[in-house]
Amino acid sequence: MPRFNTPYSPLIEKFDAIGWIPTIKGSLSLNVFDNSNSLLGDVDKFAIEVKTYNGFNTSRYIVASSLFTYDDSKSGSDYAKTFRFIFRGTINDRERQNEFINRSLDFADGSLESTKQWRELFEEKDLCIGKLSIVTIPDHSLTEEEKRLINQLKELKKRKEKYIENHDNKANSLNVLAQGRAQLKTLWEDVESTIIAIENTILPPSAIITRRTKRPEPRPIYKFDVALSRDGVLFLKNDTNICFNFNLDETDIDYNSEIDYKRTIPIHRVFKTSMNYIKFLFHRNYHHHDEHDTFLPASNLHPINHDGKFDRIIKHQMEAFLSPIVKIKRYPNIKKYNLCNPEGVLLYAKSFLMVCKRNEIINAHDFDYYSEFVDCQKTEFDAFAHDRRMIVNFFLSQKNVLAKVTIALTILIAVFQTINFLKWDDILGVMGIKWESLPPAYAIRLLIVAAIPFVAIVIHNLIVRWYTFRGKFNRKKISKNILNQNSNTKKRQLSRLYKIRLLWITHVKHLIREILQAAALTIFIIAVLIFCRWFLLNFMHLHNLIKAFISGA
Amino acid sequence: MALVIMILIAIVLFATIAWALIKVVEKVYNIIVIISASRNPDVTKQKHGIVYNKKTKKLEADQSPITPF
Repeated sequence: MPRFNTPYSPLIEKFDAIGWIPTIKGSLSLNVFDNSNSLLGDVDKFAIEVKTYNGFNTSRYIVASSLFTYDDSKSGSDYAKTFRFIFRGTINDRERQNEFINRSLDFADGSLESTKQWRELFEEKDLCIGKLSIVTIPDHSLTEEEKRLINQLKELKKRKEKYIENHDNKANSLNVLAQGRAQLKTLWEDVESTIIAIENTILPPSAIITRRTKRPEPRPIYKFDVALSRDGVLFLKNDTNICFNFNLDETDIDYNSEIDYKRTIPIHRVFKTSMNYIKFLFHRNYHHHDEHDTFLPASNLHPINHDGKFDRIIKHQMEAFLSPIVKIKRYPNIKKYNLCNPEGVLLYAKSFLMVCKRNEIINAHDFDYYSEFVDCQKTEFDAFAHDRRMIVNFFLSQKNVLAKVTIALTILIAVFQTINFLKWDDILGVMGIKWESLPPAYAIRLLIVAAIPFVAIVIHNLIVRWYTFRGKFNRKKISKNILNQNSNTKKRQLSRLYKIRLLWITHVKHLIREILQAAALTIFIIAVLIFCRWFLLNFMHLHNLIKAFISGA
Repeated sequence: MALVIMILIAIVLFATIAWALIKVVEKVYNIIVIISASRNPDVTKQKHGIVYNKKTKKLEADQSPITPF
């Protein structure tokens, strides 16, 4: 029988690790459609959600996949591992819930009371159950199954977009929409079958002894059972084949060898990566940029101690929330203020405490203590950082495009004014040169024209770099704009913009750059030829000038 | 001395023209390659699909055409 008072007792009994995916309102938005942009991964990013309705009962089917090269800084900078992440999960699907309960309950604990407790857990917490598979990619080629998976995911995504179009814009009849949903569900099941086929890649018996013999082996697959509640509490259970299931404690592993890249990955590091993957699937960073995620270790994963005590976990988690704020407070460098929004992080800390209280993971005394501490931290930060934030706000205001354009124009006008102010006749006179002896003016003009494309390319690169750094192409950022409210129409427009941007990045940008450079070089050649002609025609005159200049000096 | 300087200037001028001509030819080659490159972003249909970026140590979609120069 479970020994805990929390509703999560059955999960705590059966799972290996617990974590929290931050949510301010205490209820995660599980709508993952169109979220593939923020998914953890480099390429092949898909995140699709399918809904079906049966009376008042709504079931959700989620699938996500991406290819990600994970740099494990704790194992050295050269220790980069490439994984294909595949997540499939369901919410409120009775058949899969029963399957999950049967798998979780052993014979001794299969009492009616336990089954009832599981059932209550599913109904109260809107539990998302699923499986995360992590396939290591030793080389850069795709297997036939992976190709099939990608094609199925693309088809599912296309059909989902079509369904959204029918639902939102065309307002099709309920029958047509129901047919669309049934089609989507069938496609999702096909995807699930392919994922199971990938997961069940048969390992030869030699794979079992590979750890000892250090022979090359087929690529391992790491599997985790996932249970995620609406209030963000995440449970992970390792379901990896025993031959890949080991810990960092083993000292005979060469972490930098080629063989190691393919097989010996510390399982606890994979646990952490799994946590991050699920986090990025259901959560977006609003209070800090994605690249500063490591600065905020708030999404920690904690091993479950089956003794019913959560004191250390809560203490560790609270420290993870609050220590970055202390760091920011102590940083003398203004740039560090951009790392995160302290008020937002403190709100997350408070939300975490409330989730713990609601689920009876924290006792009343600890809840009061930590809550007061969070309030103190906020007050102290406000008082301490008031002056600094004034300066920071001034600098932040310079991110405004209008301000930047104004500054650029001011500098340009200042440069022109300075050039005009200089007395060129006097300057050239000192050097013994007269205006009349200079090359034809149009050659100089041509040279200036030739320089324009290069300057334009430099400016373009600077703008792109700035946009990329600021994440301006991120939909989250765009949707904040008053003209781009978070409506479905705008989302589609943004989707089209994104496709245009992809075409721009992949082809058009390169083409324009090459054409501009070729044109600029041609103009440059013409200008130099004109200069050469003038040089040859005035060879003797120039020779005499230089001679006079040398003898004069 | 003045003659040497004049000859040096002439060499620089002609070398500049030669360099610029070579660059123009390279750019024309690049333009031909970009125009003729496939515009299919489907990784499964590309020759290499996914490439390993040695600089970032990350896998990236092989979407950009690889220009000869």
